[in-house]
Amino acid sequence: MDLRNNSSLIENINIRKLIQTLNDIKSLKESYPKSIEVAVKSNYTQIKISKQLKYDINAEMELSYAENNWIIMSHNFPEKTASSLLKIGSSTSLKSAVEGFLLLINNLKNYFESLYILDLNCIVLEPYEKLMSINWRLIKYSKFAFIKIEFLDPLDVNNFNVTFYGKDHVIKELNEAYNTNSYYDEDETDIYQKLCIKLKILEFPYTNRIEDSDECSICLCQHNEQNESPIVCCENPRCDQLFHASCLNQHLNINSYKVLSVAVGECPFCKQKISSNFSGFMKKQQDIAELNRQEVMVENSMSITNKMDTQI
Amino acid sequence: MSCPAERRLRKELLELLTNPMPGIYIDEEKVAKNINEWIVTIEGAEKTIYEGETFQLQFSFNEKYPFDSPTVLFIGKIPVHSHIYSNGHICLSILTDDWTPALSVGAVCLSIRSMLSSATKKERPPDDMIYTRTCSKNPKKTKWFFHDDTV
Repeated sequence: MDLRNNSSLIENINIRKLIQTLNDIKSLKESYPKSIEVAVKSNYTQIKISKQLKYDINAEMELSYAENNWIIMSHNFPEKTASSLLKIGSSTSLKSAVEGFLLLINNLKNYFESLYILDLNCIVLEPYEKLMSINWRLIKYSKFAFIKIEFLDPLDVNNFNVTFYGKDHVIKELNEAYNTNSYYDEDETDIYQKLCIKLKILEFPYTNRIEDSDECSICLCQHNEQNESPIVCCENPRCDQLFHASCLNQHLNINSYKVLSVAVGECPFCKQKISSNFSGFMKKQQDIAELNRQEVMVENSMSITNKMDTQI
Repeated sequence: MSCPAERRLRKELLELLTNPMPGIYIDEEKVAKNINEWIVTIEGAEKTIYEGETFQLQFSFNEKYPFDSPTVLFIGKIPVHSHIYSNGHICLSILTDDWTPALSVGAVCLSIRSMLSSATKKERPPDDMIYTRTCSKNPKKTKWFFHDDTV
């Protein structure tokens, strides 16, 4: 056996680091015997910590060892919340990272529960993958009405935003019902009950599976290549077609004229005037704007932590 | 995953095979080989001048379907009709200018069958000789002038 080759291999793994890691993991397992799972990647420089929550969901984070410190590489918490408690990217001891992780899970208990209740009781169209890190759900309320619920602060589930999309006259009624006073105990009522009480109904009209008639009338699919759902409807009360915003846009791009950036054309079915200034289109624009804003926020907070590091 | 055009064509095919339309038959074998080329057999409707005759339509789809219309023409025996040229080209507005994604293979077949059914005389279009000599091979390249909406 060639010893020199073997010794270089050991050097690569870094035996001291390895022992340190194993010790860290051992003490973790002693401190939290049952509550978390620890998985180690083959090169011993990355570990994954996960905890099974009530509803078949795992909370996870991945840490990487670099320069004598553990750095959180990824996690599946809502972005805004996680950056405050987990200190993403900043170096920390394994124990303090796990403490932050468990504290975050505890603080997000109501948020996870609320998303779970929506996913269970409603027809959630988007996001395509119902990830817990995504703080909103787009729900099919009735054939021509859609509700987007967004938890603005996952640490406070009573702080949520509700937006309606769909046919104008249906949306108008929903908005009126939603905005008239209704009373409930904020802490005793789950999110689905809250919506029902506010809308003055017993349950959402759409509780079963989506039917063929709910597909996009252009591409005949529920989810298109962008994983969008068909939520754009023609305002003609006698036209009962639904479209993906992008499918209708593609149709309008070929057969329309443009007023500023809005394409105006005809509904492919009833020929009534229809424009790309529809709610689904607007929603996407808002999301993109929101995403950009979040990125800027993350950048800012990172530059702040960097500054603090140098001060210390 | 297949492209949106193919997915939509598969759905249309499934629908036409599960709920067949009277007098309209799809060559399943041909479609199975290539989803973008369909051969559809159309039976002349009863009590019309085409009763007992059958004709074949060829549909070709590109990747822009259903935003772009399919190319549709008669092949083999061409029906003698005032809107159908002897090279198989069909003068029908929904195949070009009036196409919308709301239409489908089934809708086009139905339109053509009813166009045949409403004819009272078997005659070629008046400009048949000039058109068939000068036209492009692709009927979609023809700038159609729709002069008669009654048939």
